[in-house]
Amino acid sequence: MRTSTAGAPAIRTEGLTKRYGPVVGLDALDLQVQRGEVFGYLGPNGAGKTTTIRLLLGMLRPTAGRAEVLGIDAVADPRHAHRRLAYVAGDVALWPGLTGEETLHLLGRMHGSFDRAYRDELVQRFELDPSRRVRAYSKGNRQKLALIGALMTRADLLVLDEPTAGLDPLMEQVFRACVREAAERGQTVFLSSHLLSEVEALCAQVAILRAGRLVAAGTLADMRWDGTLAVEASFDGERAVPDVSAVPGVLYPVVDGTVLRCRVSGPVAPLLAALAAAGAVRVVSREPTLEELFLAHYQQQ
Amino acid sequence: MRTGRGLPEPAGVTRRRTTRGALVLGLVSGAVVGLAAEGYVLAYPDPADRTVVAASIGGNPGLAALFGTPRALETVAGFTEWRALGVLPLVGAVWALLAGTAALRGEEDAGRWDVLLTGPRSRRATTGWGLVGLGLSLLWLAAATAVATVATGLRTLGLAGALWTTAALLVAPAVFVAVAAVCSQLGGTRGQALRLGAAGLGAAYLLRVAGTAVDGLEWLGWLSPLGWVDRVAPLTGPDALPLAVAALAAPALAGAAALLTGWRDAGAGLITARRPPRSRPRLLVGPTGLSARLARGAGMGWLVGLAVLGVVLGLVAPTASEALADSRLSTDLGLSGVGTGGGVPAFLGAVFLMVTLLLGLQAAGLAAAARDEEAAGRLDTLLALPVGRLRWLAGRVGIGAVLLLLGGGVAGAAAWLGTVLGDAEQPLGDLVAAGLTPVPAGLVVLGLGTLVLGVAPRSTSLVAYGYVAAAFLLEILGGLFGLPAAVLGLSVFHHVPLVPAVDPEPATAVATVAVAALLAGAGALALVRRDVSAD
Repeated sequence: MRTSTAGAPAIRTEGLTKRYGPVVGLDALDLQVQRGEVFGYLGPNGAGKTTTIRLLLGMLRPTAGRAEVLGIDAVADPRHAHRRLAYVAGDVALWPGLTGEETLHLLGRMHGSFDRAYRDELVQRFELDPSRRVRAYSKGNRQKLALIGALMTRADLLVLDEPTAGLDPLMEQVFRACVREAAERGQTVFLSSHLLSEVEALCAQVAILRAGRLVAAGTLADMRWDGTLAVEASFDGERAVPDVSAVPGVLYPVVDGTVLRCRVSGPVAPLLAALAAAGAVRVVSREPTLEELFLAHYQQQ
Repeated sequence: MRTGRGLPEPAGVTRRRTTRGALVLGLVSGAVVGLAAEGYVLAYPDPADRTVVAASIGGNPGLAALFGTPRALETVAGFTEWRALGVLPLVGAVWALLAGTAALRGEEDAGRWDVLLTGPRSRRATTGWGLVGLGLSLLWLAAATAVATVATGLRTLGLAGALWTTAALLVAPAVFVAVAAVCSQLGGTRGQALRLGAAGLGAAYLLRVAGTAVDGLEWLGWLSPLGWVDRVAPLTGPDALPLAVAALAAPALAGAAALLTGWRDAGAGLITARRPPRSRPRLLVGPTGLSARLARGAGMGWLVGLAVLGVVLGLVAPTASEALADSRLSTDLGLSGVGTGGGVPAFLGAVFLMVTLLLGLQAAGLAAAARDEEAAGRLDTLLALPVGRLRWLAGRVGIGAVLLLLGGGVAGAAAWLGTVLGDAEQPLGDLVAAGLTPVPAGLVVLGLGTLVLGVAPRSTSLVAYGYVAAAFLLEILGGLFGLPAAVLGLSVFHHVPLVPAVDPEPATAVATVAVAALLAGAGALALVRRDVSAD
């Protein structure tokens, strides 16, 4: 089995489905994450991000479909897969009576292997005092403890479920640096998040989930250039901002005072003509941001 | 969040958390009172029999020490009072400590009180309203106890008797809820608060025992809430003075708790460790070592409790055993099977039912703790490591089995020490065997809890504790009503031979362990097939 896993993708799912009675948690997910990628898994609360991760980790039994982690069947052989991955939950659950030091010892010993020197370095960089009991840590400090516990294993695959909730901006920077270093070493990072700035800063590959379904997947650059442009036009305030919703190719027009924002699909000429006729004083166009893409996917329905 | 009836939030939270348990406790307690009275009437229709029973129990300082002062045992009222008030206040006090520390400290430890503390109320007011919520649950307890006592005991005890008994039964829960409130301010965590409270209950019991058993020390009883219950004598000569003392003590302790809150930090206790915690990672190398580490704190306290109980039982055995010379009485006490041999072994064989109960409760607690681990999401943390579900479960069940074995052994050895101190030494081997005899029954409870963990995890605690309570009631009351063996056999406690009164039964032990293994195995099969669900 091990020989066949060498070239396999880090994560591969086929028709992965989870239903809770009539409620669909995840609907026929087909996903591939290649080795060495930092992969952003986006979606609002309740979209199915955590359900996906718990299926990948073998904690949930899929209703249908299959999941492979590093070429190993995630449902049938989770222990084998878990020797080579490390996981951080969004809501970290640790043992309140153990100290930070004891927790890291436990996580390291149970994982099987970890880099002591790197652990000590991480404790320094995240500015964690490991001598206190978990009970006495703030939420952010518990999060740091779990991140150190995962990063110190240098596992082939890091599965991170909204890992920066509770971290301050300085620690968020430390986290981003650690993820980049992991990627440089060839580790794969699967980062579930609803923080678009975080995903934009770290991830080359992105998938967007809505209500249990994958609605978009690809490189961030491809997704940005989805054939639409973001256009922002300013008016002098003396003439009315025109209604462009009927202009061919215009999507999601929004008027904010004397400023009109919209997206254009296809040729821009009809919109430019309409804006010129209405006396626009300034027109800016650019590629849409991830946030605009993301919101567009969610405003369609 | 719904507060219900416009109560301030802290009162609503504590009331919601504790009312259901209060209702169950009240209904069961009231039913035990009425059933004990009915059972006595059934078992001893003849006044001559009643006189014999009264003489053998009444003149016995050992039984009086264990179960409280016997009065007018030749009457239904007297016997019922002695039977019901000997055990039920202990159960009520344990409930009060568990519920009080869970509501006032467990919520805070889990971070749920932070929301309340950011509200417009001060810390003292928040704790004060929390106590009001507990007070409302005590009112529900009172109502449920009264209804059940009157419903089952009206015919035998009369309305006034039933209501006096209800009042006596409320003393221990009310006072110990307030004790739990004080301990919740002193301890640094809920576990520490609970241990302090349990130590308080142990001291109260020992004071009551000394006050009942030792001539000239009767006044000691006034220092113990359990002594107050003993003095109410609700059915043989009701006295309101001890009730008044309790009615003053409970609010005074509750007020002290509210005052103390203001002097501590949220999430900390007044008794705090001055030294920073020491890391002891030696055990923390795998799931089994982690289970051992997690069981250590609560397990040690439980072992100390069993040791104290064992010594007390051994100490009172020589005097108490004389009462059991009459085999009919053994049956009546729910101790059938002791035989007519009498003597210290017979007595110990009978009262080791209390050890059986403590083993069963610990086993239920172990199963509930396994579910807690899952509900809190900590099982996720483990399963994301290369740890299989079966290995985790085997570690928890294995450590649980070791703890139950230790508990039985400690109780037996402590009882031997008690008999040595009481100048009635029994063979150490016999008493250790007696202590180990109920361990298979404890394992069955652990196996049942594991099965429920596998198939219906959210019900683990309810089913495991519920089975122990039902099995215990069936065992102590079933004999009085002459229930058929098939029904009595549903209680695993019925399959515990009364060693050292009788010889150990290796075949029964093996069969019982096999049942436990089957239950646990079925639970394990179900666990690997289901979703792991945090809550």
